[in-house]
This record gives sequence, structure tokens and C-alpha cells, in this order.
Amino acid sequence: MSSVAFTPDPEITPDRVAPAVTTRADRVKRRLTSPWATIAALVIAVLWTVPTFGLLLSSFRPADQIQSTGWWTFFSDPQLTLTNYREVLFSGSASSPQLGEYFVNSLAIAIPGTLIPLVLACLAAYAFAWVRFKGSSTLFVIVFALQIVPLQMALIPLLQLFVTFLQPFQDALHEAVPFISERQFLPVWIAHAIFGLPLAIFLLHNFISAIPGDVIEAARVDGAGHGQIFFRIILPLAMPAIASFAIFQFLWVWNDLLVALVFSTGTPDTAPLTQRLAELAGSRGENWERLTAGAFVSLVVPLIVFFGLQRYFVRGLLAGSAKG
Amino acid sequence: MTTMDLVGKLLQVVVGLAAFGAVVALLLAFLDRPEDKPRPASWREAMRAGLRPRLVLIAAFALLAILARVLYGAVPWMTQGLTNAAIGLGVAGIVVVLLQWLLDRLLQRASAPVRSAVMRALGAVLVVALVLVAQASPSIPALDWVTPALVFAATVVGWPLAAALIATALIAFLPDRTRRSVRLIAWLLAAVAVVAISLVLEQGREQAVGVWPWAAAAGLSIIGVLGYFADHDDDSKPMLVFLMPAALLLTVGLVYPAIRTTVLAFTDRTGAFNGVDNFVWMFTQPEALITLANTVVWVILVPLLSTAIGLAYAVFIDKSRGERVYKMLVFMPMAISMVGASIIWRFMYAYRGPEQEQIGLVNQIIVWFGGQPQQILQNSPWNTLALIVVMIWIQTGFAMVVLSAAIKGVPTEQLEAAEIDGANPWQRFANVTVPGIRTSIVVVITTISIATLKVFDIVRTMTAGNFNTSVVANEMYTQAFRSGEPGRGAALALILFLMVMPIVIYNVRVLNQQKAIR
Repeated sequence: MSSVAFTPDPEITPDRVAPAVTTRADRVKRRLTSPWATIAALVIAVLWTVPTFGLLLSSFRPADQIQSTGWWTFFSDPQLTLTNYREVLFSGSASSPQLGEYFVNSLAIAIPGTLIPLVLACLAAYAFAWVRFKGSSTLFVIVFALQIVPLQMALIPLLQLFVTFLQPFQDALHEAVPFISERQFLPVWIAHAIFGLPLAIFLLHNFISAIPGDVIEAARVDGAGHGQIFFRIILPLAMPAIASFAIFQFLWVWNDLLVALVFSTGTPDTAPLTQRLAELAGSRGENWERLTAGAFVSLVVPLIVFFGLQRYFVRGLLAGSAKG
Repeated sequence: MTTMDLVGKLLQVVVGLAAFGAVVALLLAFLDRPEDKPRPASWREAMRAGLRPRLVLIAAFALLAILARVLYGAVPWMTQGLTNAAIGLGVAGIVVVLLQWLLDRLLQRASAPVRSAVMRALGAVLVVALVLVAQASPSIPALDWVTPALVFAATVVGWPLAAALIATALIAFLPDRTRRSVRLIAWLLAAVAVVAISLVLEQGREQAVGVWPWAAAAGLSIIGVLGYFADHDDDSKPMLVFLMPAALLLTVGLVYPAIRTTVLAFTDRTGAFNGVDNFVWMFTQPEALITLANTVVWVILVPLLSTAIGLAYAVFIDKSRGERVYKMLVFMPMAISMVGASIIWRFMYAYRGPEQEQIGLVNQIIVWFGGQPQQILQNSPWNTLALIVVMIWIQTGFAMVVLSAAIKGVPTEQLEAAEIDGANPWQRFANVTVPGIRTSIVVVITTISIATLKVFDIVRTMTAGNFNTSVVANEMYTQAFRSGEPGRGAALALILFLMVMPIVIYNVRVLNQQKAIR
């Protein structure tokens, strides 16, 4: 939501400055770290990891064991099974969560929900940073200020707009191609694009405006138009910022519940994993063998993205923190 | 899930992304080509210039038509109407591409107003032709997919659109100074005409017009207004292209809804104006008051505790061995969805009767220390604290990463100087490190505060707001979408907005000061 100017990546900075100050830093470090601090850090780390670990372990335990004993008894009586996952993902019975379908929905929502705002924000950020026009700074401040609007405020009117203007299109599409359901992803994509835009424009603008003006002037002198400058210079140079925002937005869309609840219809046609899980947690709160496996299915993609691209993700966070 | 469902979803994504790409490409195509590009000498050379992209387009349209013809009869969902529509679209597309190609070359040497006028006039002719074909469609078997509503819409929108195109084509010859505003007026008049015509026709025909004329009118006015700005100077045109989609989405999706919600907050469930009743309800009803009180507790505890723990952790692990691993462990909850986190913690809080073995770790620990297992999520007011723990669990990682980066920015010289002056580690931390990272702390606290004010998923998934745990964001959803009280929901959203605003303003001011110092 609110934001900081682009700060260097914490994973990079220390490495870069390290050689010059190693000896000094070492001396200070020795005085600052005491065994107590290490113990405290260990305790916090364990406290923060145990809940996730418990869930992961439980999701592999047989259903009757999850219901009757705590997961810590696993260490005295180790039994593992994949039944829970088979049950939640692929079972065709009506009472099972059938998460496989919702998993597809989550992907179908998250990929366009990331790409659309990203492209539009790149264009807009370039215009704000490098096209001189009257009212540019005023407009930019307005866009920045839009981050204040909590998305809760936009939900009701936006839903009304969608029902009035998008639904006829969707119905027509459904009539033309019957196997496309009349409940489609389009409203969810547009909603995510809208809610992601202010932050995206702000972040990318910060980065793109930091590109040296000489480079762009030189290109312009050589006769490049705005289109060429955008594609040949801005996009390649801004790739790190674009990547970090893409990861950020992807995780946000994947993890979102509120937008999904309001704009998808809650049926297997469009509802994402989070919505189905929230539903399960409500209606079958004690059905732990399904909930644990289901929760872990929803965690897998964010965790892969997070561990794989951690460096970019952290950079994106530092650049703009949470979102509006 | 049947295979057909999967194909349908895949098709949605592909078609959606393709359409989006096409719109963006179309917008970019409006960008000026550099003026000093050498003009092709001969006719043949000129035809060759834009050959490849146009051939691709023609091939694509042809493929569409051929595919439709091949699939017709082969698969059940390919109806006759759909086939005809696809073939029609393909043929029309090819014709338009060829026409545009020809014109582009013919007008190569013409002056700008002439070029613009010819293009617009031809556009008008095309629109009129489409309208006429649409009106004649009932008697043409190949056009059986054109429904009466479509004909009607084409008629209502088509004539004013053609009029606007011709009018603006003529206006292109006016002197520069007057051209902009007259052109704007032409577009706005067309917009008014669409609405007027549709309203008149609605009376005469008893055919419902729906929202389409209004949408078309809005579209025409937007074209006019944007064109007005784009004509301003040479540098503005790209501005228009680059900015338009984002501006459009933000206006429709945030500005308009924010205004609309504000109005909605003063209406009752039938939509009638009811003054400040919704706010009176909010500040008098016990449930609503609990919601507000809970939100205040959340917004005080979560930022303070997660920042404090995050800061302490960042200091403890600073420059220690395995710092990266330590960081990753605490940061991991940030990547997990709040729904996932809620399930993780519901499992931690799970309750079993005292005679049974516990499966939730928290209750097990209580039992180990000789206590009675508790219904943690149902015992008010402690259940709110149990939910707050989840949010702290998530947000601490964020605070830790940002503050850790800030701590590394504190100059080592200052710490050494303090050490030489005899400051102990705690004094060095309190008097050197903390002042050095003050702005980062402010940013972290404000960011977490805002995230906390909007917290929805955790409450929704863990208690659904029952047992006195509701917060404003959750209550807003419940009122607006579950209880059918959009007015109350809007009022709550407005309150949320008012609560967030001072935090953001403060944050922006701190940032500005920071910039000024730099």
C-alpha cells in the first residue's frame, strides 16, 4: 500500500559492501551477538516454523490418526500416507473437496490477473516518467492517492457495473460457445487488474524514472519514437522491477480471498482454491485430513514462487511493501 | 471436472489474453512513426513496406474462416450461426486490412488533414455499410446469427458514429486554433445523439434498449475528450496511448466506485436516502460497537508486536551465521495466503474434550502444564487475541526483512564511536541503531497498520466474525453481501477509508521529509 523509494536488495547490499568493512564489522559483530541473542533468535525461528511444519506433517498422516492424536506423536509412531492428497485433489465423489478443479481456476485467475495490470502499468509508468505533458505530475499524485481507497470501498459499485455491462457479453459468449460457462473469469481478472494498478504504476514509475535521461535523449536524437524507446530501452532496463512486481502481484492474486468471493460466483466454474478452502474450513471445520492436505495444496505454488524467486520478491516488498 | 470444462477454461484464458494483447498492440499502432523515415521511392517499394505484418493478419483472418468451416459439422458446439459469424468476421477482416494497406500507400504524400479526412470518411462509409447490412440481415440466410437486438444497437450507435466521423473529417480542415474544441463538440454531440435516438426509439418500438446506448455514448465522449488532449502537442499523443488503458480502468474501477460508495453509505436497503442512520447504527448497536472496538485492538496490537518482534529478531540474527536461513524461516508466512495461514492456526488451536487426547498444539501445551483445554476460538474476548496472533505471525517476516535491510545501512563508524564512548550493547541499540532506522520503522508500522485495518481473510476463515471477533472489513462484507444491507456495508467501507487516510497521509509526509533531507 504505502511505499518507500526503491531500496537496494538486502541480499545484495551486504555482499557488495562487505569486503571493505569486513574487519570492522566483525569486531562490532562480536560485541553485539551474545549467546542469549542467538537463543532468542532460535526460539522465534522455531515458533514461527512449527505451525507450518505441523500442518505439513499432518497432511501426510492417516485420517484416523489426525483426528485422534497430535502430530507430534508422529515421532514415536511414524506413519505416512498420500491418501489425503488423492482424496482432496482427484476424488470424484460429490462430498470430496475436488481441489484439482479449483487449482486450475486459481491458475486461470492468477496468470492473466498478473499479466494484465503489469502491461498496463508499464505503459502508464513510462508515460508518467518520460513523456512530458501538461498535468503529468497532478495525474501521478492522483494515481498514488488512489492507493488510499480500500478495495472494500470499490466492491459494491464495481459488482453492479460488471453485472450491467459485462454480463450480457458473457451470456453471449456462453451462447456462442456452449462449453464456456456463462460464469467466466473476466470480472475477476478486471477486478484484480484494477486493484493492482495504482501500486504497480507507482513502483514501476519509481524505477523507470531512475533510468538515466541521457540514454533516452540519445535514443531520441537517433530518431527513435516513443514506441521504440519503450520496447528497446525501457522494458529491458526495468526488467528487475517488472519481475519483482510480477511475483508480488502473482502471490497477491493467488492468495486473495475477498475479490474472489465477490466477483467469482463461488461455483467450480470460477472459484479459486482460497475460496474453496475457506468454505471447507467453515462447513467441515473438523475434517482435518482434508483441510490439512487442502491447505498444503494451496501453499505449494506460493512457496515454490517464494523460494525460487525470493530475491526478487524481497526487493519488491522493500520497494513498496503491502498493497491496497 | 470434465475435459470440456477444462478446455472451456483454457479457451477463456487464451482468448482473454489474446484479446488483451490485440488491444494493446492496436493502441501502440497509433504511435507516430518517426517523421524522418525515408519515404519509399516507387509504388512497388511502398507496397512492400508493411507487407509482413499485414500478410500475417490476412493469414490469421483466413485461418479463422477456414477453421470455422472445417469445424462445422465436426464438433457439436460449432453451430451454424457461430460458423457464419466466424466466416463473416474473417472475410470482413481481410477486406479491411487490404483497404487500409491500399489507402496507407495512396495517401503517403498527402498532407495530414487530407489523410485524416479521407480515413475518417472511409470509416464513416464502413460504419454505414455495416448498419445497412445489419438492417438487411433478416433476409440474408448467411447472417442468421445477427439478432434483432444487435441490429437495433448497430442502428442506434452506427448513424451518430458515422455522423461524428464525417463531422470531424471536415473539421480537420479548420485552422489549428479552433479545431480542437469544435472536434470535441462534434464527438459530444454524437454521444448525446445516441442517447436521444435510443430513447425516442424505445418509446416508439417498445423494445428495451438497456444500457448499451449509454455505454456507447460514454465511449464516444471518451474518444472526444482524449482526442482533445492528444491534439495538444506532439508529445501528448504517446501519453494518450500509454496512459489511456490504465486511466480508464482506474476511473471505472476505483474513482467511480469510491464516489458511489460514499453516496451509498447514506441510503437504506431499498436505496432511499436515510441520512446518517447507517452511522448511527454503527455507533449504537452493541455488535457494531464490538466490531469497531475489535478493529482498534487489532490496529494497535498487530503493528506494535510484529514490528517489535521483527526488529528484535533482525538485531539478533544480524551478521550471524546462517542469517539467510533464519530470515527465510520467519519470512515464509508472508508467502502463504491468509486463508492457508488461518487453517494452519485453526489446526494449532484445535479443541478436544478434556477426556480425549488433544490434536491442537496450543491446547496440548495447556494440558501439559496442567490446565484445562480451551475452546480458544470461541471464548470471547481472548479469541480476538488468538486471531491477532495469526496476523502477527504473518506480518513479522515483513517487518524483519525491511528492518534488517535498514540496520545494515547504519554506519559502522557510529556504532564504533558509541562503543569507544563506553556505551553498552543496549545503549548502542537504543541510541544509535534505532534513530538510524527511524524512517524504516515508521514505514513498517504504517504499512502493517493499513494491512491490519483491511484484514478480512483471517476473520472470515477462522470464525466468520462470530463469537464477537468481527472487524470492520469482515462486517462490511457480511452486511453488504450476506445481509442485504449495502448501505451499512458502504458506511463501514467509508469508515475504513477514513481510518486509513490519516495513516497514509502521515506516511507520505514522512517520505517527503526524507526526500527533502536527501
